[in-house]
Amino acid sequence: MTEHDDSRSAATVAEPVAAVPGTPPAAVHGRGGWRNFRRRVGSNRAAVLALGVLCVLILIAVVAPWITPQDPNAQNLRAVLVPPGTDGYWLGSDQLGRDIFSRLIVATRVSLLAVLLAVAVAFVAGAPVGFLSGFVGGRFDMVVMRINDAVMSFPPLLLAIGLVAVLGPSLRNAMFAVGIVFAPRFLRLVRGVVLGLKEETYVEASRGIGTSTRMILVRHILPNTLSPLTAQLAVTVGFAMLAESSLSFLGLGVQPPDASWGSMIREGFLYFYQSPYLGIFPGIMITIAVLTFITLGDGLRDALGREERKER
Amino acid sequence: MQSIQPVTPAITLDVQDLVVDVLTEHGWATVVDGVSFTVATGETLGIVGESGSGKSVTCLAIAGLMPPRQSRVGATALRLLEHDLTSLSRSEMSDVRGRKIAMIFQEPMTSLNPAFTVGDQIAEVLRRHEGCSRRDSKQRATALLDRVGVPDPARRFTQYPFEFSGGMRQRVMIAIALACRPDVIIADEPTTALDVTVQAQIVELLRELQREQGMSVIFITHDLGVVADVCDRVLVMYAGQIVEEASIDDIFESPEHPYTEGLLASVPRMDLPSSELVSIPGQPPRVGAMPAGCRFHPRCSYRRDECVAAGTSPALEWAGPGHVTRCLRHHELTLEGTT
Amino acid sequence: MLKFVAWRLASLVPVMVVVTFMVFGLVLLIPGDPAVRIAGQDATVEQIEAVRDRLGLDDPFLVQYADWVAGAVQGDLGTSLFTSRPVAESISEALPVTLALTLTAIVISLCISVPLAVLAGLRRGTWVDRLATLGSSVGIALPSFWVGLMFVLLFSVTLGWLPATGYVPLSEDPVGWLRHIILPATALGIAAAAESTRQLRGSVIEVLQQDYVRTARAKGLKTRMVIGKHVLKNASVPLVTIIGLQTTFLLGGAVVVESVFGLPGLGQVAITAVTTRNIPVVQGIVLVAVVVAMLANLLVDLSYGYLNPRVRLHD
Repeated sequence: MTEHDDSRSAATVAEPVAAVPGTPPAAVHGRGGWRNFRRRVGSNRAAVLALGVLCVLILIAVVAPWITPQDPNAQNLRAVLVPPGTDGYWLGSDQLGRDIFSRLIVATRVSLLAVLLAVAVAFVAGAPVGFLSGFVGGRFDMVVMRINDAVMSFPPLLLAIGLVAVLGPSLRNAMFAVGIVFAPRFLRLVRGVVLGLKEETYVEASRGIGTSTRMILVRHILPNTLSPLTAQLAVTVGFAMLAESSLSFLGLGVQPPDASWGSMIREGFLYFYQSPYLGIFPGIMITIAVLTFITLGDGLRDALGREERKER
Repeated sequence: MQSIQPVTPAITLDVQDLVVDVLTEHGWATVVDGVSFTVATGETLGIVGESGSGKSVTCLAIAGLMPPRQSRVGATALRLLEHDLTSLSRSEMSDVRGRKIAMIFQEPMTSLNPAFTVGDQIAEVLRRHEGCSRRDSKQRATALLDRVGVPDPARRFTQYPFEFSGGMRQRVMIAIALACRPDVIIADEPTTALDVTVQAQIVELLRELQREQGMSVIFITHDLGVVADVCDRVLVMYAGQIVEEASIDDIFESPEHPYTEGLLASVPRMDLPSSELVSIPGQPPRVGAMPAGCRFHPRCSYRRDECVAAGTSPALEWAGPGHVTRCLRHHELTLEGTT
Repeated sequence: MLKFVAWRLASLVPVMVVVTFMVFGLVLLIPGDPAVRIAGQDATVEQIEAVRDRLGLDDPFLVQYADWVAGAVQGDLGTSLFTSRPVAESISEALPVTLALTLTAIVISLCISVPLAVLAGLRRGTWVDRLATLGSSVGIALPSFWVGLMFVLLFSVTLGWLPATGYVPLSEDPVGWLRHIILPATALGIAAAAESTRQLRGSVIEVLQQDYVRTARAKGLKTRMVIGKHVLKNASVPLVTIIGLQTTFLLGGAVVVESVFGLPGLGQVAITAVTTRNIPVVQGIVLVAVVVAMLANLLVDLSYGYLNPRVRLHD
């Protein structure tokens, strides 16, 4: 929920890269390292399980329009708020007689796409700036970090609400807002890695023999940011999903008749006393999805940690 | 300096057939194997051996400080004065610890809690065992700091461990151990982590306090030089067993076990050039992989077939009055000591 | 110690400048003419002009900003667009509720996490430990507003033990207050509890291996004392960092949970303001929330001095 310690993982990434005389530096953290990393993730049972669940969720999201037993937006005023198990409505129906099960399936797609959008915004807004900030350093870095501190001192959900207030409630705006809120995580992470690597001898060395700055960036820094970024991405998707569902629950995200899990809980809340189960299933879906992403992120980070320890 | 043994020594601590198993990756392994000894009142007993010989574990086990789920401790007798330590519950044992039996550890830098003042860490022992009020315990703790040679004790009382040097911290540890005037103090390599000059001061302090308060001291060390300074009697431990026990004179003048001879030879001496420093070849056996027969035989230069053939490690045998050894060949060997 | 506080306060100034700039700059993000958007599609030219005039939208941006900050420093956050009620007034009415909710959530989170984490750390690898670890993973993933709904379903609708909605101020009726706050605060605090458990369990395990814990036991201290005093104080240091971050996070979460339980806190005010595009109110709420979060983190920093004497003496 709150900040996972990016700076620490960034620091451990930077430390153990040893210059091996005679071998091209890229080999130190190149393909071999990545393969090792994948193998270590594979040895974490929880992470493997999470990966499996993620694949199922993605599959559901992709084929959603074709597998819903009913049209998720089709109203049936003769079967309003029927309980789960009723013929034709596995998980019951909502206040307009729409099939909950079908809506859950479609909402999977909406929710996943929404958080992907949010995390993409966070990444695009955070990573390049962090990269530049770390690489350029000096006064530019100082200013960037002040702004970053300021953004991080906002209660995340309130900043998002403020942004939605001016932009207007819609899923796109809500996800943009969530993206801005999470951007500092990527900024800090990438900056940390870059700062650490800048000091590494092999970067210095290759600069000495006249490699261009761009080559240094591409060959050394980018590959090294890849693994910690993957872990951070997974965890952030999890937290972005909680933020999305909160905003949609407040009616600031997805707008009817579309449904995300969060907005389904909102509808369940509005008809809570007539049929309390409306809100139960989407909540379970959110929990499963968030748990999946966070477990995956933890697994990736643990794998990273172990890899670093072994190299040392 | 050797003190004279009392004629009929009263026994403070009696340990019979102590066995300690610890849980390793490969299951239970015995790290202390049938250790028996007694400590007389007012006596200083040295326990000597390389690291991993089981000397620290022996003392932790006596004090009931081995972690409960990862270790097993057994003994046919474990008596401290009138207390049968084997029959005490955990809570009763904690009443004895710190009051009757106190410990000083090797690492003064990490043995004090960084989050509390030095004074509080001394005073809390008094509050725990003697029911002192806050004010009394503060007064007595300040007096203790003064006694162990910490200058300006009233000010030092309110300071934190990081404001103390290693030697000063060890003095604080001694003050903690001394607080309730225990019958036995176990000092586990108390000087190993300190500078040579500070080492001498701490050893001197311990000797002084021991003389003053008449308590028994178990002094664990791998430094025979320190042993010669402070101890009345010495146990030599190797691979979880006692291999030799003798008075301080006997052990230095006429060792009866090749391992002791090796240890003596490795003590740096003022009268010889340092190039003649000898150390025992090889490594002590790993836990759970004890050699058959005499446990020292792989490293022993006096080894014969009989040392291995027995299959089990030899029994302790008398080699003289108050002198026992675990060597089959002690009758035929004349081992070199120092004079 | 005073120097440390002063230094920390001073370091907040540049962050505050950026924060106020961002909060005020929210207006710039409004697509199109802000006055038109705020006044609404059907507004007459006069109405639009009135809005423009009231918000000072014709002045240069920096002048507007300076006016706003100058007002904010004196407790004047402008007036609501529709009721001409001072924003500061509605916020000061709602803030105590949100603060009470957040604070209670943190207390509940600690009441759950500290015993659980200590038990898990002490009995590492046993079923208690595994259950605590699993529970804390799931706990982090639970949406607090949904947990709130489930609580209402269980404790209010099914069992009828506690009220589902409403609020009574603590000063009027402490028992009634507790009955109204306990469900929302627990719902809000569960995720925090899960994270704290995870963090504290790790540090308890680490601290238990320290030499000074062995010293404490060698002194004959009772287990309660060894754990409660020597282990916990050292293990709390990383936990305190987490609590600071959690306060910031929970202030946002409180807004959502409030709307589940109908608590008259900042959340209620914020939601109404957002749906009616009452920008001055939104700005005021966001600003107040940041300031509260910063003060909370300042308090947390100060408590480091207590937990880690080095910090105190070196600054």
